[in-house]
Amino acid sequence: MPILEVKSLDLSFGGLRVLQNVSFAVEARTITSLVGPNGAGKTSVFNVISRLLKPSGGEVWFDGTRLDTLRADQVARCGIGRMFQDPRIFAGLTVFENAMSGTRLRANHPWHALVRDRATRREWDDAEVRVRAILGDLGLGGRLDDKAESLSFAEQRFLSFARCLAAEPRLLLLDEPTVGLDGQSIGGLIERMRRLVDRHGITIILVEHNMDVVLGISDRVHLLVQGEVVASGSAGEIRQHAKMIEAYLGDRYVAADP
Amino acid sequence: MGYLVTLLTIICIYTMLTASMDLILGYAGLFSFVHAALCGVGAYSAAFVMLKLGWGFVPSALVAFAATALVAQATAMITVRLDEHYFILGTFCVGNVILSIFENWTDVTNGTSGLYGIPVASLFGWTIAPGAPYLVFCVALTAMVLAVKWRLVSAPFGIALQAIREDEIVAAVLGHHVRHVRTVVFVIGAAMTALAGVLLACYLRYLDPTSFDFPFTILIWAALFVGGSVGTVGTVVGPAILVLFPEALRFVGLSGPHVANVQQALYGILLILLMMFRPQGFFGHHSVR
Amino acid sequence: MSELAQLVLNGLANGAVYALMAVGFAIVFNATHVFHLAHGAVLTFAAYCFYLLVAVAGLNLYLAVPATVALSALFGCFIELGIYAPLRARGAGSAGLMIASLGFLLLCQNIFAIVFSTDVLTIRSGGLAIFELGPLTVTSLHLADGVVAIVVFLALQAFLTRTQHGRAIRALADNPQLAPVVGIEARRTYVMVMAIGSGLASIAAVLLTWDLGVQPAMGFLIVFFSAVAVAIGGHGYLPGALVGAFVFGVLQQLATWQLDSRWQNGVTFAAVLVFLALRPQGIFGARLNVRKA
Repeated sequence: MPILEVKSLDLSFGGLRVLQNVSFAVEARTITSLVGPNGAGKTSVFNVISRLLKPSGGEVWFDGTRLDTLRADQVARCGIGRMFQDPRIFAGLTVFENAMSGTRLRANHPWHALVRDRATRREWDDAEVRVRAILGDLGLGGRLDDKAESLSFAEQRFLSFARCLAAEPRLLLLDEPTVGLDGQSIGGLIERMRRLVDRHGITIILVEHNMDVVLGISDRVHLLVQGEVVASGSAGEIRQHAKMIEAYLGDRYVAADP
Repeated sequence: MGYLVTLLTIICIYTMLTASMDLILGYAGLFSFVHAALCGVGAYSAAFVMLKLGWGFVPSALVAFAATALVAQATAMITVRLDEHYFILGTFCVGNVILSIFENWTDVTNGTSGLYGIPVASLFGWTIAPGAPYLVFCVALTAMVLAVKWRLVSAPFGIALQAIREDEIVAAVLGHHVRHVRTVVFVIGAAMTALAGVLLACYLRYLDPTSFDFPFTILIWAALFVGGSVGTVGTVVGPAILVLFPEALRFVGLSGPHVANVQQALYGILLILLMMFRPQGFFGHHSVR
Repeated sequence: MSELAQLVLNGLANGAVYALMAVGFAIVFNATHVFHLAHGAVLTFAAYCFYLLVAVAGLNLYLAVPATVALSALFGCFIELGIYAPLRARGAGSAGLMIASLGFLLLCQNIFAIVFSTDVLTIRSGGLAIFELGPLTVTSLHLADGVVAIVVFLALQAFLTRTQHGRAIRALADNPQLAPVVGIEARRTYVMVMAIGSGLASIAAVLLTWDLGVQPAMGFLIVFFSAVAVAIGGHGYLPGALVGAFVFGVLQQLATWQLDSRWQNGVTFAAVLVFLALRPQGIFGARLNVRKA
């Protein structure tokens, strides 16, 4: 039973057809990659799922709930987390505050902010402990009180990842998470993604250009070209069709092994 | 001595206005142009029940809260979904409507002739004498408002407000209902502004529509930017500077028919210089960008 | 019925003047993304210039008007080079620029009040030439407003669509990040945009001063009217500012129909609010009017 189903999505922008009849399903506790050339519409798929864009046709279903009729924040509250291509951290807030902004607490509401009963306080303390653990695990434990804008690009990336995780999502949409990171950071990110899926039961959908990462970690790969799903398969199948990928994406994207 | 009490009372009331502005503009990033008018709604509604119905301070303040919250809710419903610049315009329109009502609904406000004879504040039957006792009363209420504000923003609610200010799309994707949160904080800020209005009414014992026009809102903005937004110290320091500075001018002998214009011109220069050289003000934790 | 028609006519005439201001505001706002409240300072500056040139120095109109326009364009360039450009260089964003703009408006308004007093200074002493068009009374000013507006906007359109500079301005408005890449020098274009916007404001100032005279607070009021016009029309679309200005002008006049005229302000802005409540994206449906979240 797939946890996410995208059915026949159409999206147009002022005459430009960005997505055409895009359909795919994602099984729970898997890592799925969306690949394709720039402008293929991969980020647009994420934007439609997150409800930042309204599709002109089609449906999105998450675990039995229809997403495309909800607001963006309601989609998030269903348990869907999203990382953007740019870190988009909150520059004026500290690292700790950035990560806490992802949590969904009773104390987010002004009434409970003023009247802090025991349940509110306990929930808040638990969240703080959890967020500190997440930040520590991502190497940001020593920078909790620094303003987020003082972080390096890679650190900001990890902070936006922490912010996503603080919400305890069930599905993570990661948009080019490895761009701008060095090999070691990429390895760290991959290891954490695997851990999230295996140990915590999270499902991940990835938009990635780095084919090493894609072929190394994905359970399933979908190739998008000019707004249409052109090929789908397991990592193994796609690896064999590396030549097909080369043909579509150019020899930039040479497969990991010959 | 009486002069000092006067100044401190004004600074107190302006601090309450600046603190509520900080909540709306500093934390939530909403450039409200209707702040002075909302203060006026609180002032006039409280004055009306005090004068015509003889009510004491607390029930009058509750009426002021209710009236202002209603107006603020209606304002937010129309303006919060507008882009940031058009939010300012929307609040400008509301301000004009409110001012028009102040000027023309003479049965309640007495229009441009002014509303005289507002009684001294009376708390459960005890009158609070003007002068030092009233100052103590104002300080107590201002401290209460500052405490409420601090408690609000020290909770995750404050983080949610600022996240929405910094990047509302990311905030939505994190699960924050942006429009709702903005509306709520606008109404809370308006309630605080209403209380300042009630204090103003009982202090001046007289109200007229020109007390709540747009230059007054700009003065509050200036007080916020000088003191610094996002913080408590700034919301006290800012008004103190802006109240004491013209008094200092008077001391030096600068007076005459153009005093008000010179003051306002200096506020204009102040705004430009602040944005140019010190957008975080003296004690702010956030730079206006 | 004829009273209604007269109100509409008056509203259209006022609307023409507001349109000059609104389009000037919109050009600057679209291209530079500054909420250019100092546009009001330019209006007042131009008005006092015109007053001084005509009523004090006794120049005739054929000299005074171009001189006013030129001086105002220079004033606009000064604002860009002296305030906006340095602010941008220091990393100020749209909020900082807007507040500085407001500060400049405040500064100018009060300097004018000190120098010229808050009295309304008029140029013409007599009435306006009028003639009857059926039930309507048309003044020479109505005609002037209409003709000037038509001529100016035709010229502006030609400039924006047919000249290289005009296309550069439109490119900047559509895609601020792209413009420097394509080779258009953004900073020089900003100055040009400010000069044009200020020129438009000065023409509005001439018409207003001839009609009603000049006073220090006129800029504050009218720049907000212009911004409201842009909101009504829909952000980012220049003809929208034009239409919005006429709508606002007519709305202002209709607010006195069958109602006590002391409620004019309240009714006008209440109507604007109702419009924004029902159609926040403006007449032409600008995406940018409404927040995405």
